[in-house]
Amino acid sequence: MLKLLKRLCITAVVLFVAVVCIYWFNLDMKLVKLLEKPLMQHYDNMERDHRM
Amino acid sequence: MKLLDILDKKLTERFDATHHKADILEEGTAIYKHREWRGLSDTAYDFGQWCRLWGILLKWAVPKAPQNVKAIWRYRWMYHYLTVPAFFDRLCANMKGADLRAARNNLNYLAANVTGTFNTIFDADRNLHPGSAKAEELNKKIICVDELLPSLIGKGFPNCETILFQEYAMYLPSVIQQHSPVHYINQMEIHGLPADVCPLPSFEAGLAIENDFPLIGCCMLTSNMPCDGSIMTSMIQDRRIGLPTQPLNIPLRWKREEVQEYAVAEMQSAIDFIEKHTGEKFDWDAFKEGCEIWNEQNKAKFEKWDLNRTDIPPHTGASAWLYRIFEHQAVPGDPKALANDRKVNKYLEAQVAKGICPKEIRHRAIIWNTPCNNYANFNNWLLECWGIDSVCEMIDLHGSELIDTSSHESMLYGLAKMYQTSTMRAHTKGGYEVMYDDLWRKYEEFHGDMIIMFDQISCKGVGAISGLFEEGAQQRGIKMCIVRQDLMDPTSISRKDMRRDVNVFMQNVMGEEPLDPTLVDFDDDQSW
Amino acid sequence: MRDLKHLQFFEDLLQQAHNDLVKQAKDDRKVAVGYTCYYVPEVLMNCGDAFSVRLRAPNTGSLDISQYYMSSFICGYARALFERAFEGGYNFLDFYASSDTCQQMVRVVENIHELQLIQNPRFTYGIIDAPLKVTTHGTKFYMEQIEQNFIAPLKEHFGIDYSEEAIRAAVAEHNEMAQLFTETSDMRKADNPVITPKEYHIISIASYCCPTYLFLPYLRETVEELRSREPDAKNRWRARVVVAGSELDDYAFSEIMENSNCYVVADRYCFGTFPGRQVIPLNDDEPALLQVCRYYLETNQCPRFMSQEKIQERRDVVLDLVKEFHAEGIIYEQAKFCDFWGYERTLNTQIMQEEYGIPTLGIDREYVVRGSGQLATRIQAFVESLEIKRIRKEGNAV
Repeated sequence: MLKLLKRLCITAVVLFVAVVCIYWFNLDMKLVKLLEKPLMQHYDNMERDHRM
Repeated sequence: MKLLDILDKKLTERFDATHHKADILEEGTAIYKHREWRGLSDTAYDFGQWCRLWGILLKWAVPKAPQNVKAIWRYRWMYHYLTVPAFFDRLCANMKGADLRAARNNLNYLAANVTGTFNTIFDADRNLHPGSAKAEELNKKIICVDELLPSLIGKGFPNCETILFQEYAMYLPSVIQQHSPVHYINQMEIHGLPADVCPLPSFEAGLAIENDFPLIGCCMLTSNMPCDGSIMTSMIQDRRIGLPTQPLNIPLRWKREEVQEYAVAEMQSAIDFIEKHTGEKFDWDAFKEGCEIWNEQNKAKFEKWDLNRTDIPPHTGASAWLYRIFEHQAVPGDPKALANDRKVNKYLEAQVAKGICPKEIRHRAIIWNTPCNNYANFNNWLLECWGIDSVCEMIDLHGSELIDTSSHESMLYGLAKMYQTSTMRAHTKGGYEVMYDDLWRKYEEFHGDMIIMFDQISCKGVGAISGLFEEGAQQRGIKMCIVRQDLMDPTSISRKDMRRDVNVFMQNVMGEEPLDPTLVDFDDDQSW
Repeated sequence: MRDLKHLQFFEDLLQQAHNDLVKQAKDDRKVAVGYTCYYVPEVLMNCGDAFSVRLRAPNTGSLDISQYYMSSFICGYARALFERAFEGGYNFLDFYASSDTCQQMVRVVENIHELQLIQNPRFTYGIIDAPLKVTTHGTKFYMEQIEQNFIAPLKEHFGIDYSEEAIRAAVAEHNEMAQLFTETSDMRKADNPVITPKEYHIISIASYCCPTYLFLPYLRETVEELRSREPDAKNRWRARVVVAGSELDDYAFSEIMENSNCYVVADRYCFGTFPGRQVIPLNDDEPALLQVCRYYLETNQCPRFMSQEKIQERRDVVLDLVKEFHAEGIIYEQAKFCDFWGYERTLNTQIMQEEYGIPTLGIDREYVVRGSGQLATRIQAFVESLEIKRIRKEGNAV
């Protein structure tokens, strides 16, 4: 039980530090920026029914 | 606590970018190299709210992951919503104390509401679920309204969802990501529309041409809001959307009592139209409840304006006006929005009561005319770079008449008045004197010492009286800085161009040095 | 063809807003009512001692003053009107009847008011709000707006008679003019018409810019002449088109058409005769004011009307004109920076071409058309394409 608690605590701390790092270093938005080019290319290549 | 103070001091010395903000922005994209340090307490608060935002986004994204991925894959404009955390960071730039708390709570409320609406939209979207009986069943109870029409009328149809049709594909992306309109505006111009028309209706028309609107709803209320361009873009959208449509004619000369009878008749006509197409009966009790909540939301706004009239305005900028627009258009009568307003007001009142002002304010500016969607955080830059606080903005000042809920007639009257004084309408219509006289009044009320006048180059209605404002400011000895912008087209006037207008004014007319020299000229052309 | 006796006179009248017939009416102590738009019922501005002057800014040169007050992305017509007002060109006006139906045009009278540009101690103005669809409650609203913002001040300040008799008399006078115009317009249906596009355009504009009661005698004589006029021996027209679009008060446009040997069979634009020069039918059962207001609302072809019926009606009206006047093509013209016609032109150019199979050209132009080489080039190219299409069709028929 104590071992489980210890593991949970360590996991929680690690997760917390990871989340703080993501927040602080803006990693979430840097990742989204990486998605931009491939997604825009996909949208440009989509077949569209262009009409008024 | 002494340990925390020492830690705060050390971290502040290491990470504080006040007065040299550009140092933490990536060249070109202006993405933060790392998030802002605002002192231990405010940074911790900001972190908590960022976690809350991600909680909201994941709560939306995960349960319906396949549908949401499909939506992102299908709609170009959905990509921009992935950048919302960066958008919120920009709107909260340089904020501390009550301003930060108000901004984060407002914005997180928006995020929760918008993601909830996404579920409604994508569940029913005929583009994502072609031929689906389930989607068709949902659509029977979806009322689409033009995004500049407040959705308060929908409170009388509690069994239906009222969706601002263009809000999610057009308006919100245009503030979230400056380049989002460009592709669609280009589509419209390729099809022959002149480039001088306002980008807002042009963006909408481009979406229609690309078939990039979600196809939802059983009926659509269009309108002449806010202007001539919007009237015309409806024609192009109608052809694509293919819903039974009724134009709602909102009178322009809204100050006249004589137009109210017609305005009320139009409201009744709209109700009849919705009843016909949804099979629902208008619920006056539910509508009354919605109006009463809206009145309370308005009163909460009046309190914010009162606080901004003080020497230490606690909450200004885009997180205030964008929230106001959204509240007025999308969520009038929503008890959750009211709860958020009351929570935020507590923060603001407490700070003012303590006499705290965490901002460095040199000037109290009245910001007039419609703001620039593709530079929503312009207010933040004004404050950070030049110490100009936007204590009162025209775009914030709409829909402020309380609705008399004592009878059906008075409620319809109040609803009609709300529509006539809606976003981008309250001042640009009603006669030039509305926009002209109110500027000088607000300048006095909010103790302004300068005016920033947006010159939205493709807005014909205001452009045609622009000279009167210049002359009026000269006659009154008021310093007015004119900032050109093109609403949501960064390719015609960029953020840099807008900053240049202010820089030239502040240096040559005001003779001042910037608070943050690194923000005077920096490259953010590629930024979101 | 033999020159029309009064054509030069008409052309001279168009050289300034305060023309000889307007001066004569003012000397007769009549009340000059300026207006710009079909939303302002012309016939109601000609009741009693009032006479209407549809405002133009002929011979417009630089627009420096208006550019300062109104910005450079404003429609040329609105800017030209403002510039002319600034120059004192409208000091003869006693009343300016405006409508908040075009956000650019309404700002002209608002600027005039704020800057006090009309040097006439009697001058006043009215602005109506107007519906953008035709409904019963909308017609009532429209009529009330006209009563409150035009009729009431004209009565109060100038003693204009708006009795039932006075309105019916104004309608009768308008209808006489309309019948003469219909007769003239029908002459354009002929293969080799006896009236040229430029002549028709000049007469049409003059009828809008001059007091009806003074213009009518000249119009009667002109139509009499036309009835017996012989057409040119050789039919020089290479193509026949309907022109539809925004405000167009510069007859140089029709000159450019003529130079390309392109015949304008019907003029469906603001300042044109469709609508504007048709008989207004009145019954004896309803008040004349209500009937007139309803008529103007129902026949209004402004793209501002948003209802589906009106959107389709605008296309149907043009299609009917194409059929009735034996046109081969349509030209949608748009004044630069006009939001309404920017969209209408873009959409309808495509629809007419692709859905109705009618060759259609969409163009935008400055307020002053004279000397526009680019416009001439585009018209020329369109005429050639119509000619080629006709030749091919005739070739296939053989």
